[in-house]
Amino acid sequence: MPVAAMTTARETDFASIVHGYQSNIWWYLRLLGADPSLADDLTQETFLAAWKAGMQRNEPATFGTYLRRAARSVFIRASQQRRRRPQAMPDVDLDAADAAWTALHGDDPDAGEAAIDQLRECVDQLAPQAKRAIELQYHEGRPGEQTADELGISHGHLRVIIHRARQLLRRCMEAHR
Amino acid sequence: MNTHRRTPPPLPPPPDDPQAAAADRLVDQLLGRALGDATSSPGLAGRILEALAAEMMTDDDEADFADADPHTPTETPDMNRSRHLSRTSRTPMRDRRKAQRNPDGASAWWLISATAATLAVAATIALAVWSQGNIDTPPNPTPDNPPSVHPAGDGDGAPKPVEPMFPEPERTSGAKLSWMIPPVFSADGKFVAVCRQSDAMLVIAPVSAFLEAGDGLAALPGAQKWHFNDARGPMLPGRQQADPQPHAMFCKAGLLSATPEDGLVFINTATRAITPLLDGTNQILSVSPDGMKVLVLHGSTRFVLHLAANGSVDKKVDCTTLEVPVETPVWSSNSNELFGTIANPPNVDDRSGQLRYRIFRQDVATGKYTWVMDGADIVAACAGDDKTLRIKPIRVTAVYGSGDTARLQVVAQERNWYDDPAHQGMSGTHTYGRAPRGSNPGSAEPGPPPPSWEFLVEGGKATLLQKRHLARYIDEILVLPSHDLTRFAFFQIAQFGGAGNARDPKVWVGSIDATGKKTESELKAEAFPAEWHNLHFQPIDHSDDGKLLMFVTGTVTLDRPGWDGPQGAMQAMRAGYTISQMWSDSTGSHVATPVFGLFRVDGATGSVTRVCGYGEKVPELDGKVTTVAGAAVNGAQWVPGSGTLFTRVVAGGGMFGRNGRESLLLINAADWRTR
Repeated sequence: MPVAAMTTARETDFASIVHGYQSNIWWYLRLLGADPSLADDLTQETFLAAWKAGMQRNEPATFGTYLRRAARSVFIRASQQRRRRPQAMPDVDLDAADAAWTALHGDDPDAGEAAIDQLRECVDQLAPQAKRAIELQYHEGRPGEQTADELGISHGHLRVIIHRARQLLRRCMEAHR
Repeated sequence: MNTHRRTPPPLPPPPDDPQAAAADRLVDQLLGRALGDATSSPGLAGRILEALAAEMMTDDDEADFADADPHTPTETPDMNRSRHLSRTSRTPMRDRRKAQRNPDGASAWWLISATAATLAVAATIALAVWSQGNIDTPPNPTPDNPPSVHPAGDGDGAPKPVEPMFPEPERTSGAKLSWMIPPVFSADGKFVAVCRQSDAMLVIAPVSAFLEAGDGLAALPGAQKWHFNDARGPMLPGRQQADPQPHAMFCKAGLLSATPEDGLVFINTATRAITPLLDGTNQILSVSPDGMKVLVLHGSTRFVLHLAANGSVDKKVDCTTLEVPVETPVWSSNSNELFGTIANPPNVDDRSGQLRYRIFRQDVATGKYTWVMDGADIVAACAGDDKTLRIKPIRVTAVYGSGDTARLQVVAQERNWYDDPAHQGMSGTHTYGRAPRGSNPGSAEPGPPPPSWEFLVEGGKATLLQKRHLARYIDEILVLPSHDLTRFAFFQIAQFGGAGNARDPKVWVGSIDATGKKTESELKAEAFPAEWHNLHFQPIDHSDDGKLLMFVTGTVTLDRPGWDGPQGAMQAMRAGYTISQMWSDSTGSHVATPVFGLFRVDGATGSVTRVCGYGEKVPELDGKVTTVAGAAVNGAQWVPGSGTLFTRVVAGGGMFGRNGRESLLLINAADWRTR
């Protein structure tokens, strides 16, 4: 029997899995509290572990969830090791992060793009001042003081606006999912 | 500019709901991604693929070491054998040098490492290119579109059909599962417990389910699964972190009802399996021979749980000793005592570097312990008046009986020079006080381990059974006790050739009595298949009449004329083969693939018998070797109650392979003594 005949539908090319999911896993690890450099390392470890465990033989629909759980385990192990060092990672409620990720983001390879599109729509629905504050803060990357000056409000007031805008955006995204 | 500023409303308190807080952080992250320039790490996918390719190659790389050139400061008959063999085993190194002078020569071993590195790079590039689809790439292989080994074709533009280089491998029985930790079997061989670290899952299932299972965990009928929070990292010091132990063991108690306060969690009444707390704060070290006592490690505290017949914990006894215990203690025959070694006892003057280790006996009912023997007596028995000898911790490897009349098999080994705290971070094979054996000028072959001594300790007296001083690290000496420690089976092997291509083994087997008197005979030259090279031996079982059951692994060379190096290797891996070596010379291309088998070695008759094995439909190998698709085996476990050997088979392929998966392989060899 030719080698190619041993191909099965469930054994997906692992390289395409890496390309499809690496961004999701990296951002998920950032949500858990990993800095960019650590997220790089842990993303790599996650895929190595998944490959060793033969994840590619599972149903493709389960890849995202499997990788996220693997990333969580890898992160826990890394945090345990770091707790004994000075640069401990921030305490993050992992279950809450998981729930938020599932509710607002999802594990599909294109879930990130979909969430971002949805968020843009929600930003458009904000009140003008809040929308302008969000744009100045995130799009133009202005420091808080400059943003507050441009809007003619105090820095404390700006923080309140940004905070409430985030809450509105969260509710908006939850309502659309 | 508008300078009017209203009084801002008070900042709302942080949300009490952790999920809301997490969701806010996620929204913040998404805002950065949507409106800002926040991106994930560029090039990360490529780095991951490189790491995967390197990982895949790691298992297949095997150093091609040169042969040894030992010299011996103190001669014994056993050492002379190794020395003789080593001095007459220089051919591979000469061949390599000749090949370097004449690339078209008959041997080009130096190509191995270069080819392996090329393959790793080629694999990475191929993966990246295929996955991104930036160039015209061949479609993924399908039954209607088989891949071509030579895509350039025969010149007329049409792909040249090429027969597959490797046939489809035979399937083995067993679940195609990847387990990070070796499985643990119940004494009757009916149940298996495995702990998978990748997703922190503990599974206990009937062995039959494993053998019939298809892909993945979902196809394990009758299995029970538990997720746990693996917290062993911060709890266990030193090597135990990197060398995790299984989370479950089986015992003979009936319905277990241990509680978390006991350090155990009830798992399964039918299988009688127990496990430490699933948060990983405890570690089960061993179960007593009667199956009713469990030695548990909690941090640096050790305690023994006495189980009642109904499975509840009758008594919990603190068995922590004041000094640092070495290795896991061994149970006495009646399960009432533990025998072990304690290192660095207080108030010992160690300025001479002469660490002393004492053997202790501990009553598990009270936790009290007494000294059986002082390590200084062992050192004296090893070296006599040689005051320069410094030893590693003494190990108790077997116990028969109990109390003052117990018989113990004890091993003492000389320390390496770099074991001394003053030489930390250094490496080498030099030992104190004596010249090393097996020095290999210009060779990468690692030296042999430091010498060790096997003793029988009885009634406070140590009797030397065998000195184990090897000339080369590929040699081996085994001393295996009978059940009552009155006789010891003896096995010694020395091999010709380089360490990367060891061949023509010489084997001696025999027995040693309790006084240290040894009788032995040399096995016939054709004891093991001549085409098997690089033999490694793992004793599986042995009987009091001197018969040994050995699990033997090695490699076999396949000639592949026209094989085109990396691409051919990739195809081999896709077909499920593990490649341990590959090279080309004027006669063509060659690949070495791992093999294994079970052999009975009879010390009484000096014979070797092939007990059983698996074959595959490879013409060159048919009837000659035992292999599963050129699979590498990863450890083997023997379940005496079922007379069955379990091993993990790691087929090659990795991310390329359709069979790159680990299987649990079952070999039923209950009648190995007579088969």
